[in-house]
Amino acid sequence: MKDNVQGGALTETTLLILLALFKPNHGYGIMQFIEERTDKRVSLGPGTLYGAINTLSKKNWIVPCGEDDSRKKQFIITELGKKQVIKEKKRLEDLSMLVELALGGEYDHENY
Amino acid sequence: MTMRTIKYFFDFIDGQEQWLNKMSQNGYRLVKCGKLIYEFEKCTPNEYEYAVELVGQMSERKRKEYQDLFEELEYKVFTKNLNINFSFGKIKFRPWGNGWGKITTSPGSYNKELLIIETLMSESKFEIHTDIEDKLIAYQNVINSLLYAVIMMIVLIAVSFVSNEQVFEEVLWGIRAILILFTVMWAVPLVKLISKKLSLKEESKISER
Repeated sequence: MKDNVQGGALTETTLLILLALFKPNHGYGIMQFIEERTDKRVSLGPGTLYGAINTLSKKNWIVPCGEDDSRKKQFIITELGKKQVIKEKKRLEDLSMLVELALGGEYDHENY
Repeated sequence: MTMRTIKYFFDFIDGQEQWLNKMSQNGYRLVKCGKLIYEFEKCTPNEYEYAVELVGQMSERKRKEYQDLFEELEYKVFTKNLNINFSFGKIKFRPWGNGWGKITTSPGSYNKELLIIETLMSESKFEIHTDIEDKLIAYQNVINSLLYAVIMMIVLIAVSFVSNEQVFEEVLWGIRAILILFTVMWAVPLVKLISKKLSLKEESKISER
């Protein structure tokens, strides 16, 4: 998992994991969330999940929460993490607008 | 009823994975694996799917943590050896490892270089890594270990030519033939994997998954 620092662009995986953690969630829950919300377009492999959780924890965008003794480790997004999500939302909206500008009147839901 | 098979894979990721999935297709589920022995029991054909992952580059602590996550996600995990030499109470050096992963001890991380992950078959292919960046790292780890094996074989072949031990020519050529065979057996998956990595790298310039 790599984040483009200059552009602030998050990978799709990163963004989806952050969204899954607005409520306390464990690994399995994150995978389920992503599969359901993207209608199975995106599936998250366990290896990628592991790497992403480690990197996001290191950056302090997510933190462990819940009882320590439970076997399933839970995580939740931090304020810093939420800031990244808001930044990403703005970027995606700007991009979406550029796409619409380029397409002009040509864009037609029926045909695509 | 269980079935036992003896097998060793030079192509320890893709080759082993394909073979295990073929076994599942034929209605055999892995129940146990030793150094060279695989034990299967009958199951419904295509009920399970397998993936193999190299974890030999990780430190013992990291590997344990990684394995725990798989188990937390309710995958069945088998640990498997990469080499066939027997070892107990030894420390080994792995130049292809990361950080503390360079040192391996027995008992410990030695002979647990591979994880075999079993999951229920679903519509989409089971993949451990779903991000291009992640896949590239995983490929690179396997490339490093295969490259190390190939280089070691070439060094041994070279040594067999310079050493002036008193050995019969025939015996020496026999040993060389085996070494050359091993070199080829490891070089084939190495070349395949490098080309797979290069084409993925090309794709990563325009896409992230």
